[in-house]
Amino acid sequence: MTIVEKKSRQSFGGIALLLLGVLIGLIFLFPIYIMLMTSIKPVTQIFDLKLIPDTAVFSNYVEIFQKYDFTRCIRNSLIVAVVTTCLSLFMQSTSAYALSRLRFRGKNAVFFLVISTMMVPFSVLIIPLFLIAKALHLTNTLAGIIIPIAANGYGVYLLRQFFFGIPRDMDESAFIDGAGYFQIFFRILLPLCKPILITLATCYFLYNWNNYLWPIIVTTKKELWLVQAGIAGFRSERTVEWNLVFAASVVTSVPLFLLFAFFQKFLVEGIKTTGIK
Amino acid sequence: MQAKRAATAVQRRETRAAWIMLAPNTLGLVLFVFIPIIYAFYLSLFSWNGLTDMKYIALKNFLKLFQDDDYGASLLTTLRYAVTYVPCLTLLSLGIALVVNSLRQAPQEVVRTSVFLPYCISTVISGLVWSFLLDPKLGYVNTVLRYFGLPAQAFLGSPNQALNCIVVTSLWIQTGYYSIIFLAALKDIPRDYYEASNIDGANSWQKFHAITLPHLRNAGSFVLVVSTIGAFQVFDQIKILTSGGPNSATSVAVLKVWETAFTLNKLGYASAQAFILFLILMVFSSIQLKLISSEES
Repeated sequence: MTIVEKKSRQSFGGIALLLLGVLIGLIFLFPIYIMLMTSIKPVTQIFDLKLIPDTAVFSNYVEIFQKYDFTRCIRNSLIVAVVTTCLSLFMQSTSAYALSRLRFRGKNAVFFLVISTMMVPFSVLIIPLFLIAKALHLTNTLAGIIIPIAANGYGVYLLRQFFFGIPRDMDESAFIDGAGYFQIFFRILLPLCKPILITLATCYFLYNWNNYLWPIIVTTKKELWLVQAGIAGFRSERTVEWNLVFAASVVTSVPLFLLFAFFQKFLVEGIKTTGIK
Repeated sequence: MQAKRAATAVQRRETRAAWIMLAPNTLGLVLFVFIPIIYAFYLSLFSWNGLTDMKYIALKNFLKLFQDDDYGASLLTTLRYAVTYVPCLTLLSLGIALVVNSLRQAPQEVVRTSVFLPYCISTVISGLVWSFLLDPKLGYVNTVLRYFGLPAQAFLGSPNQALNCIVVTSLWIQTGYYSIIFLAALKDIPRDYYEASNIDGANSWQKFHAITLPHLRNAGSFVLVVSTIGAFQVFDQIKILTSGGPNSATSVAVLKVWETAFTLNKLGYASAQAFILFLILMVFSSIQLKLISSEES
């Protein structure tokens, strides 16, 4: 085979792969595209199945906010997602600091506890968690959605790994200068953890914004619905108001797309570190 | 003597600081993970509807489970789901990672983002979008089938097809996530290996077999184990798409626990079901833990 022949074969393969890649991308984007287009179709044209709507209306969006008070769902979801994310990051980074930097008795036992809770899948806890939440008078409150979710082992594990990567000289010299443990943690170490904190924050926000199972168990009041329950609520036994479902879906998903666009690097990094290279 | 006392004072301060910092998360883990799992087992020894007094019945719930055909069927459905979903997911995300990895920088980012985007969308919304696409009468998928002269399918309305439709939905949601894990592993393979094999005159398949595949072993086992754990816990998509129907064809383990506990109010019996699920998942999650800790060393 001459060099020219080989080159042209390679570029043919390259074009085939590019086309395949584009096809894969389109297949994955298609349902999202349909969601967007259906959300701006008038209710009578939803099942005309046209890929580009004849007429575009925004009344569906107006309706979910005016008739169904979707604003409240969004507010509830924002509170839950933001508070849970902040609380989780705070609790887990202090824990990780103690487990990676401080010397004390019982350290191994605590680490073992952290690790072993990573083995317990959430779905098998729903009944006892519901009963505990009830005993603590947390059912039908937003706090009831937040508090049982905020503690987890995975974040502690990842943050602890990250702390190990920071040279000890930094906090030791601060310690000699008379800084306390809390000062060292907040002033010196935490700022250095920014990349992993952003990674975890993105993952936690995504998880909590999209969470469905636990919120519908712990709250039954409609006023406390989060976005996911709100969207599911546009369906009744017999009919589905597709135009509203998709308008609400777009409103709910767009913030996540933006979050992803901004923090893509961190999110991808996070998936890589939670996975195994 | 003085120095020693000072040392213990420092140590005491250190210990105190440590426990203060550990307290919130550790308390949370004890209260909301550790105690609940023990509580779940405790509850499974009782017959209880959540309102009247609890009645201790020892292991009768578990004995009843062994004779409960519906429960057996739900475990089997979960297994069927996992056995379909996990291999499809692994091959699909590996294939996509390979294609994406072969592209140049710009198209690579575009395709990767497109495949990952569904992962940002909630399972609830994804479920709704797919139930719209798969609508038996007017859905897009059937329209395409009819266009090619193929008969329209019942999809979610058919006991034979419903579970596979849920697999497709789950694949759409999750593939992007797992492709990124494979992609990261692919990027970690040193280029020299491929260059050396070029000199030896290896063809693409030989390179894939001798270099790429062995380097994906860790990522591959991680994907298998984590997706299996996820598959055994599938809930959201099914709740939205079929609620377990038609004819209980998609009634999986977690849905069964949820129904038994919160619709039928049989909390003891549901806890026994959840505990069995926990034992099954223990096997996989201990493998996962081993994989993670082997990474650490």
